[in-house]
Amino acid sequence: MLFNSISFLIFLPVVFIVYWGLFKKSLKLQNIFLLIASYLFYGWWDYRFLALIAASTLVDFFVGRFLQKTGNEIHRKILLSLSLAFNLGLLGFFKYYNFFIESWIDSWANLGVELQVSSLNIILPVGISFYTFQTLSYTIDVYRRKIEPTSDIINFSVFVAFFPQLVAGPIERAKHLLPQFSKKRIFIEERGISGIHLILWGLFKKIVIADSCAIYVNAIFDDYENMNSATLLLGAVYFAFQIYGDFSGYSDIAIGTGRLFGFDLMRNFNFPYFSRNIAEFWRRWHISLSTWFRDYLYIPLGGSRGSKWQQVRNVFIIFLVSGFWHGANWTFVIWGGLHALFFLPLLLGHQNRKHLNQVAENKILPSFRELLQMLFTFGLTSFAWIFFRADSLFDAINFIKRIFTDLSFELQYLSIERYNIELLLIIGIFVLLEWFHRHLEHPFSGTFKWVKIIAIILMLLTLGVYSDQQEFIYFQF
Amino acid sequence: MRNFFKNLIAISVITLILMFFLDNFYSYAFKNGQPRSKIQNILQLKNKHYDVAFFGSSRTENNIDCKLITKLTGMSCANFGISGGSPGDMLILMKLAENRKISFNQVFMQVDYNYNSSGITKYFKANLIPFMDDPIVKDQLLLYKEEFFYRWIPFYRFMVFDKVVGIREATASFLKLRQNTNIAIGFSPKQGIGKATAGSFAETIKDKSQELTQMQKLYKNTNTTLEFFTSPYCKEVKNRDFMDKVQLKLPGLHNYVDLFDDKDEYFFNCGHLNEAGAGVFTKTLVKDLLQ
Repeated sequence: MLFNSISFLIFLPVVFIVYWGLFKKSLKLQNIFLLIASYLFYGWWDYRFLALIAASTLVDFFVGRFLQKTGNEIHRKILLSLSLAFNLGLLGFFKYYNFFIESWIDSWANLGVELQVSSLNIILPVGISFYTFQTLSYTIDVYRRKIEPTSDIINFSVFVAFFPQLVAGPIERAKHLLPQFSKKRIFIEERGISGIHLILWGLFKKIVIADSCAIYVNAIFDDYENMNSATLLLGAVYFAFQIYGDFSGYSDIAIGTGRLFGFDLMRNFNFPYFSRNIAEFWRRWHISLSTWFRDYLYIPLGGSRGSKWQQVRNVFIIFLVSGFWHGANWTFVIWGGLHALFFLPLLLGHQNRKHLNQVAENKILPSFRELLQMLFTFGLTSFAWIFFRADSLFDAINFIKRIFTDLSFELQYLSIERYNIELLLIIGIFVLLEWFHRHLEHPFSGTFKWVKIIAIILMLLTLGVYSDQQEFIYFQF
Repeated sequence: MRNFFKNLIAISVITLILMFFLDNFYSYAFKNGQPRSKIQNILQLKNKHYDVAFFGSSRTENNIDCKLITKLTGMSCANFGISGGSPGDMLILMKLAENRKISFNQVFMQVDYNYNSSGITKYFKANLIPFMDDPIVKDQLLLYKEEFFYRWIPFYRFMVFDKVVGIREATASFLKLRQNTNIAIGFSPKQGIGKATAGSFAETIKDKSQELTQMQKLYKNTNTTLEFFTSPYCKEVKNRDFMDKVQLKLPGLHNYVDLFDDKDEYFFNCGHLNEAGAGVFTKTLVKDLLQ
């Protein structure tokens, strides 16, 4: 079920009314109902893959239970390995099997050896990368004795399958989300209202910003050989806004929906395009994933401790793995590698912990220096996005090559019969709205709150893309 | 929960009011603004007579030069061909024309592989959306069991078809901005030479085309004669003998499918003529059918 679909528009109020109306007095019933609703939400897409979620849930629930019961370190390691092998095995099979087989065949073919190994027609279950990481974090934290394992299988099941964040995050930690299923929930009006506002803002980001950008991005990337330098540069910028609007829009809707049911989900984006360097960008972009990798990969590897060589190695590992997490394609690996390269000078120059505050704090406008820093960082991320969006490495390299060789900077009229100026105007409004509300979660506050709400609804209705509706990009990961 | 529901209701009411207002604005713009599609054009015409009219898809829109016909014969002519248009679309256009007292002496309907198609196209349906309260449009959409319920949710129809009747077109219509092509004349020639996208006709033909039969009924016992014709295709197209099967279904069909078998320079691609080809084809039609 998509957040921006009619079915969700019916599903959400029904679940909300039943949840608060019928089951308000029983926490157990609320959790059972949330579990059923979450499985229905997921099964709407493909009910067959519910078995995978259930299996992942059962494995980690019982691993957690056994970890609590045994003090034997070897047994504990075996149990942890079992969880890792099961979850990463699922991920490996559904997401990476074909990639490894094809890469294996290609590498032998380069040596002149033709291998007859067939790949499989595997459908990638939506959200598998998200919920496997969520359950893994539980098992690892139990293993590290950072949290107590739960003995309530319903609570654990709904923690794994909680529908607002099931298919594209935020990737929650058991320490933060799991206890919320055991506490009596009361409806706090302000949280509920902010939830609605977040949903509205998320829908705007998705339907107006991301889906409008998608129309242009597809036209440019699919026909990049006939585009000039200006259009290709715009294509990269549009994709930067598409993926941001798409993913942060999804996260806002997820967090807002969670609030309607009395839950607090972690923030996933914090105005990443107002970052002054790449390190700051990664503290603000897909926060739940970057902190996951920090806690469960980077720090165990030694983090920023150890020799320079070890620090550099750790940075490359975390960024390359992060790229590979996104998809089984070399384009994602290169995307991750580029970010590692961008990050490296900051690490070596001890600049990676700079800019921990919000840019131009308590000021209306940034300084000229800050503006240049933001533009430079945005330029770097947009450049890397080309690899992320391109269908293959070949396409990405040719796309970039054309930017630097065509050198024609006239704005082209695209085959989609739309002018660049239209989209640039919409993006401009969006950037201004974000800038002037960068200390908030959404712009609906202050004296002109209702004016802004009306304007956003009006833009949703008139500028929203409905006939060419796109799936959320992160569903494919 | 009181404040929460007050907020929720306020947002819902605002949304509904905006939808109602926008629905009226868009409808007004499409009904009274500058026509920017042939459907809009025909819906705004009344009491007009053409000596000859052509209906069909891009093979009519790109291939029949009405200005040339008028120049050569003195006849008034309209090209109602719409790229991607199906016989179902054309039937609605013919009915709308009749309803608005737009009369013709001769009507030519282009038939080829589209003999096998039925129903109306998404693009055509989208163009009809602003005119859903028109009785002809309403009847036709009901006939094709289209999702008629969305007429009861204000503005929803414009959202569903935003690509065709969205804010761009509504504003352009309202501001009376003209299209680059003259939709009243309707000829939109292709430039360049090529024979790409050869494709293939179907191997089998369906029993009967409901839409073409209805067209024949529509003009039976009237002062309008209805004839069917086929535009040229390049010889590389597969199963071209499909047209022999169509000929059996429509005995009076003027079949020009092989007219330019030795004239590659007249094709824009395998199914469409370029401007030079369209000129020669139009002259052929004039000589064979209009003199």
